[in-house]
Amino acid sequence: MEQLTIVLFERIGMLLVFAFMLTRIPSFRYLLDRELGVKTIIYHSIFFGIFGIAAAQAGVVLNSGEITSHLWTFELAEGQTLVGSTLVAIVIAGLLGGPYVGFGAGLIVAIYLQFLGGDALIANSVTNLLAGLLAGYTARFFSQERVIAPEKALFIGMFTPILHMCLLLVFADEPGDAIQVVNRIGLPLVITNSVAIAIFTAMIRAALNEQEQEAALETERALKIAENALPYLRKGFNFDSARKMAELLHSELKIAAVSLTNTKMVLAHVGSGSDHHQSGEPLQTTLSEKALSTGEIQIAYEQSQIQCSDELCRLQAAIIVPIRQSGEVAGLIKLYFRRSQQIRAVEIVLAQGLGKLLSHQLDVVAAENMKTLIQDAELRNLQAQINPHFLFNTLHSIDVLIRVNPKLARHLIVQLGYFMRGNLSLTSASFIRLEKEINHLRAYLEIVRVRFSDRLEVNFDLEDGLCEMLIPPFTLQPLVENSIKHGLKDIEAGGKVEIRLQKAGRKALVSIRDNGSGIPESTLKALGKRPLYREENREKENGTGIYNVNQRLIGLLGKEARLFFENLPEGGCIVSFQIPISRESEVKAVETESVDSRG
Amino acid sequence: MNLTYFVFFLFILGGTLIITYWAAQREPTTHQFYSVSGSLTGVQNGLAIAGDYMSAASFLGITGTIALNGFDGFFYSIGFLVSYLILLFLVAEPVRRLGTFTLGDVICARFPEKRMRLLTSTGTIIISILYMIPQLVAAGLLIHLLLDVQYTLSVVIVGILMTLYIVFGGMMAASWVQIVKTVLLMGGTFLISLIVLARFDWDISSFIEEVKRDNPLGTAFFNAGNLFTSPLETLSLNLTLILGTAGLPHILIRFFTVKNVQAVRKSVMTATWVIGLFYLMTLVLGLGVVVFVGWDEITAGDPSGNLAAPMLAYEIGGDFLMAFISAVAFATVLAVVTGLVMAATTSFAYDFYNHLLHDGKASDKKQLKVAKMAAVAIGLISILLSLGLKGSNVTFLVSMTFAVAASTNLPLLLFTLYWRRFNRTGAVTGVLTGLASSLILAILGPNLDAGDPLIPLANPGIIAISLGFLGAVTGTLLSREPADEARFYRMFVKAQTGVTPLVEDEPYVEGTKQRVPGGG
Amino acid sequence: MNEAELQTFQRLIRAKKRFLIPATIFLLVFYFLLPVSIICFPKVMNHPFFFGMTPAWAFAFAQFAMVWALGGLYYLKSKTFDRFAGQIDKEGQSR
Repeated sequence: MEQLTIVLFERIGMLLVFAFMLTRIPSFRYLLDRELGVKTIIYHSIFFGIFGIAAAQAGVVLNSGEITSHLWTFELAEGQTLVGSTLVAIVIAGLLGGPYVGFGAGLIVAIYLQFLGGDALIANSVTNLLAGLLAGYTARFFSQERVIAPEKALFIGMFTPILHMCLLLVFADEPGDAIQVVNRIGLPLVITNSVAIAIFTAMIRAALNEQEQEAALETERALKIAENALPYLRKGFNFDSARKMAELLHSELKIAAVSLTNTKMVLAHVGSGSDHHQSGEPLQTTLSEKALSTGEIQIAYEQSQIQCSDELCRLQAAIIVPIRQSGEVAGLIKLYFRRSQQIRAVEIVLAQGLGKLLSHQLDVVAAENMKTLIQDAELRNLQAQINPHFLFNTLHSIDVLIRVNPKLARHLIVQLGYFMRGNLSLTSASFIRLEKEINHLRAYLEIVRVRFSDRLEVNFDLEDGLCEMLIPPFTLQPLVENSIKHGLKDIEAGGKVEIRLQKAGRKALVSIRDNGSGIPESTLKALGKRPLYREENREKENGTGIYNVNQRLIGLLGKEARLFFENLPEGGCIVSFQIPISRESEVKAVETESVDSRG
Repeated sequence: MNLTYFVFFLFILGGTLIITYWAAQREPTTHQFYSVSGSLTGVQNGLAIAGDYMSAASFLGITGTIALNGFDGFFYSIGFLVSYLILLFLVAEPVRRLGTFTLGDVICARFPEKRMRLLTSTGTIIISILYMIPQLVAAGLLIHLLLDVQYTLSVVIVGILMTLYIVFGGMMAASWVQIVKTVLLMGGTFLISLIVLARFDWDISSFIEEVKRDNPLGTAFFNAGNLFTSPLETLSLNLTLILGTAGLPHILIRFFTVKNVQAVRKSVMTATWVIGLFYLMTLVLGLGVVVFVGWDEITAGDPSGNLAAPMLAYEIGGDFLMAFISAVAFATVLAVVTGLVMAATTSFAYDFYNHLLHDGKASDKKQLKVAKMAAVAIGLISILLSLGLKGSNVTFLVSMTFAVAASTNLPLLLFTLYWRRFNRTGAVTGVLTGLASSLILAILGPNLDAGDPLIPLANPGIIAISLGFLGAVTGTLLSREPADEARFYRMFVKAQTGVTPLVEDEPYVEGTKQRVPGGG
Repeated sequence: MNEAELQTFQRLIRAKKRFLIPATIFLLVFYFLLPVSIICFPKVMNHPFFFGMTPAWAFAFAQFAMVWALGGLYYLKSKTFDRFAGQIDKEGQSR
């Protein structure tokens, strides 16, 4: 038994060497695409069938208990059995190519066995026919991987020899002899076959991994570029952003040079030949024009196609990828190579993918801009509206005051005027100076103070040196209004609202605290996260005001600037947020940029 | 030990450990651990159910019983199979619709109380451990006889393996070990049946003639009534067999491993086909044993005939085939005990730890940790019990477990699912009377050597099951607790359709739209 | 549950009852008839009547056929049940 095992292992070693060479053939790898047509099934069946015949020949002849090994066996006499490794080939065919390929390979080997003759012909043939089929189905049942794991293959591989042995017993003429044969060859076959199958699958996985890792690397690179390019794309195509993009592409793709153009001229050129390929040059090559007009990728394999003015230019080949924005070609990416041989299929596909990815990114940026524009418009619209109740109440107060205290009434009218002017004038900018916002708030507070004179006390605490900082307009007033309206609604007298603006490092801490009834637990979580509506009158109330403020803070300054709500243990609640302290000059750039993009 | 045996055992060991390793790579969530995230297909789960169900007792025991007793051995096969219809018709789908991971979920869908969860959880753990002991004892004997390893060592090996599978692979490992086992078992028995029939040139009548010639009963071998002579005994056994399956927790939790009710149905259907075909093949095996092994030889190795199948393999295929069949038997034992450990572990970690101790809010991480510790503890307890009960009668323990399951879990399940008036008192009294009567009757019966038995029934099912059902009915009717019709109705609708009916006065249901008053 | 759902549900339960109650009774009777007949008529059951096959064996094999047939029937029927359940689900959502 040991002797047979060793001999079989030696023989299978030869087979594996042969198999290893096969895995180096590129077309062999197509086999692993699971969707096989009839033609490929036949093709691969034949392939593995031949492999199986070779495996049969790699076996030894068992002649009435004697083991003899030949290089090639043409015919088997009565009483001779070929103990080969046909099953290895067939099981692998089944595992990799599915049940049909397995069956096909088994069929070919079975036919070959008919010519060879010898003992136990039926059993051998039936085993070969069944093994591939069963291996194929088993692989599909137990494994979702493209190539089954070697451990699983080892386990599955052990059962085909068992099937073989059982069929030998089933079809035996002389049960006694068959039992002896089975006892003799059973275990060696189980061990050698399963090990060989496992090694073979491991080999194929290794071969595939090389290829797949390469592909994965390319994909990763493309995705990385797309991700890193996003911030530049947000700023639109200008000289500056194009330069940065080109630098990114140049360093990531490791090619000779990269150019970025819009539809008219070169915006940036990075890499070799930057002495004469300069930004600001108009586009002139026919290929570029073709790319712009057709929107399809163009490849220059010769220097003449690049039409470079400098004859000594080292850029010999190029891929020109158009980039689209909202369906229209908005620019080109040109990837330059030193030699045309450097342009492989991989590069072309990558370039194509990049073009698509970047186009998508541009569209996304455009969509985002559009969305913020719409939101902005909506917000401004809302801001400009003054709550009619507030207006009526104020007018009513004025009406009453005119008789009682005309001076105060006049004051109130003036403040109302300030307030309403503020409402109109503040809406045009994303940021305003805090001073302006506070003036607006003061006007509001004046009105409120007159109206609620005995019920309300407002404390205003502004730390020095904050007046110049920038803040989104309509941030403070809605929050204060909310505190007054809801926090103090049940309080007859002694309501307090405290507004505090403090410096904390590079940030300003804003808090508005009242001593009212606090926020119901159920509302607390939702506040600011979605618009809240009042059941009674179904009118947009301050729930939406707070939501708007919160959204604007987050949208303009990021998540850190969001509103925090908290009930105080001594009653009432506190709303707070913090925003970075920035001066007008710093923000100016951003401001103009966003205004530009709107234009 | 023979090299061939050793290699085959290594293969089984390796294969199952690969499965466990592969399962251990999955995301460690409770959902994955308890129920494979419901990711099995109907056919896969059907194979797993069959693997969970066809114990070594079926494979080796029934082959031996048929070889020794002819027709009467076949009774077991029929009972085991027909019970699946009860499962399919009345239990499987509602259980899937109401439960998430355990039987406790199902009962608590109607009686959402910790008390009820404790009751079902305890029942599950008791039944699982009770069933584990005969499996482990049989495994110990089998490995001892086949591989010449000491009984203690064999029990410990199997015990450690089953615990390993669950600790590292959870339900995923259990399921795939069971699936692989089913494929192996079916393949192995099929091939042996083929070899047996081939030896008679596929001529069944000459095969049967040969069987008649080769056994001392002669023609009477094929007649009914060789084993079961007492009518009451026969009926009792049949009742236990047909009702037991639907109360076995390790089978019931398998329904949570598929994604929907359709898949549950498909799994039960697959399982009935696999199990039915398997029992038909064991018939061929059993008769083959008579011819090829011979009557005297069967009992020589093991008086209860448990080694009949491997011996047959040796006679018709030598060492090689016997090693293969022994390995299959080994896999068979492993798959069943793994399923049992899983059932007990799930019940402990999910019902007991998560729901009873932490109101269902224990974190995934903690639950998994507890589950793993529970698996180790359950493995240890079972190993110790099996070592202590070395000489006990395996068949007796198996039929007792079936009796316990049929007289406790089944009344509880059926009444919970279908009886409008059923209440908590009934549930408690039913489970307790069922459990007490089945255990007491078994102890008083003729199986334990206590001289003249008080109750002459080897299988007390007919009395115990009746008492279980009766206890539940009496408890329900005597208690003053009113039946909660609304809850029954809700449970019933969900059990039958999978739709949770919305009741108007319901305080809060997840996912319903609620309006939140505005303002601050 | 609204009116439409309730009606569909009642139809489902009626359909289920129409199948499950007779099927379960049949299965129990058919199953227990085997041991009962062997207990009551051992002679008849053990008397070869067809190619040496006794009624006991024929009946035993019939049990297998019964399981597969009833199971298959239920499998077919359950498609109707599923349709009802799906309808109820839809009616519930349309509110």
